[in-house]
Amino acid sequence: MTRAARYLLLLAGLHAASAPAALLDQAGLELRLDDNLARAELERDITGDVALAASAVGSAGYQLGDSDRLKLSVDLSATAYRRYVGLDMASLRLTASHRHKFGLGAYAPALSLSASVARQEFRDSARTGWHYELDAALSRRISPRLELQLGYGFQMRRADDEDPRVVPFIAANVFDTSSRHLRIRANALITPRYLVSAGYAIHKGDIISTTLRNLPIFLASDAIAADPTFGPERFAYTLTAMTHDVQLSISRLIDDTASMSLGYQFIDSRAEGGIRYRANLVRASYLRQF
Amino acid sequence: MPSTLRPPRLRWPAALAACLLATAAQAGEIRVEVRADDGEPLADAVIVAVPEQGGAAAGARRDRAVMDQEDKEFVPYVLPITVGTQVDFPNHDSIRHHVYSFSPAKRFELPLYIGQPAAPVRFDTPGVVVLGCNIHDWMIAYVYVADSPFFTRSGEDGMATLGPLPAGRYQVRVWHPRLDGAEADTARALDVPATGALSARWQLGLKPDFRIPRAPIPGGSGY
Repeated sequence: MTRAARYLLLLAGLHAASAPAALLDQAGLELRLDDNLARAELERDITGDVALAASAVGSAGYQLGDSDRLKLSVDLSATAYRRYVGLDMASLRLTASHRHKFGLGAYAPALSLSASVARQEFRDSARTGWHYELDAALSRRISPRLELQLGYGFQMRRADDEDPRVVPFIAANVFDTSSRHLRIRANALITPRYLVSAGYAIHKGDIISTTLRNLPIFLASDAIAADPTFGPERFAYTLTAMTHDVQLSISRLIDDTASMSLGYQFIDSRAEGGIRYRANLVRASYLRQF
Repeated sequence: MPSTLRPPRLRWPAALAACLLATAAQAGEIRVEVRADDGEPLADAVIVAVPEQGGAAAGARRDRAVMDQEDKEFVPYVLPITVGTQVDFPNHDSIRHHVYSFSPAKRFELPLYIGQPAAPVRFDTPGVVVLGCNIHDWMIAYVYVADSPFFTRSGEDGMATLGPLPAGRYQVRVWHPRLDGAEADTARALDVPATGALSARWQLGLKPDFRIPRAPIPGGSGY
């Protein structure tokens, strides 16, 4: 059988199991406050900003069997910052996810595997590039009120261009990063209309910290490049770090199709060389399913 | 307008059977008002009347009823039927559903399908049957299998009319998916007149309406 014939057979099989693709499946708005956008350690380097992000998702679902579902989605999003406009970004993400349920019913555990690739275009082109993610999540609903999730993910970014080297013999590809994480999360209804989510993740891998010239960070860094997005004489350093990430949010379920949420996230990163940064993020968001 | 006499999707309304049973006698009716403990009208309450003298055996007929699936929800939310009723589960969505129940009163499964399943499901045991969809976890509905042919369901205004009923004494009880307590505790004896209507009012204590959320929530990111 030729490759084309096999492809057509696969398409025919998927079509037979398909749901009609939704041009617009979900849309959202998020207002985000980040008090340490540069992921810096020292007071002189710490700077915050507010961003507004909008997203729209289209998807097609394929029920492959009683327990297996394949979902293909396209996520278009845009983020605009109030002050650091060089971080303004547009992204187009393609995701394929497969969900397998181990049993029948709402309380059967489920395993989700997903892979995604995103094209990210920043106003300051040094960050522009590709973002890849692989993720596995095991979820189990305990009751109508409580759901638990355990997840493991890997992500990698590759910038299109490498900046000129600031220091000979030290790489300048600061925006080529990778990391992996392990996470747990619980979603609990505290009333029929209010849902609280609490999560913890531990990340291991690259972080990017932007500061003025900084010897300890310089010594610990794997790559350095000028980062004019945050101003003159600022440099982005790639560091290997362990990051603790705590999230807490409350969502108001407006109806069966929409929610409004207020979330808080605390990030505590500890890099090699005793370097540490912390960040606090607050999010207000609206999500609607169509 | 008061309440509907029967859930609109019953093809063979139990009222018809009740009429047949009542041909030799005059018939009355019970006008029921159901409210929550906060005084608000309560929809989807099932009201069942069991004659104390017997003579209205459930399950003797071959009623048909419909539990539909539209926009990834079961319609209606509560479907009262009598023992022996066969229920069709048409899927009017453009995606497949997988209907199941683990309830002791009826365990069954309709694996992935779209449109009309090959055969209806017959409910032979009185009790509450909780329905779910294996694909869409938030989908939930209830089939109430009554041990009497005399039943109805309250509308959005909390009102329902039970009848026509042959004159006599009945044990009347009320059930709701959120009922806080035993259904038997709602029972009361009512004397249905030969003609005319009897009014009755129930105020039910309810549990909070916790359901699996359907609305999207943020996943969180930002590391």
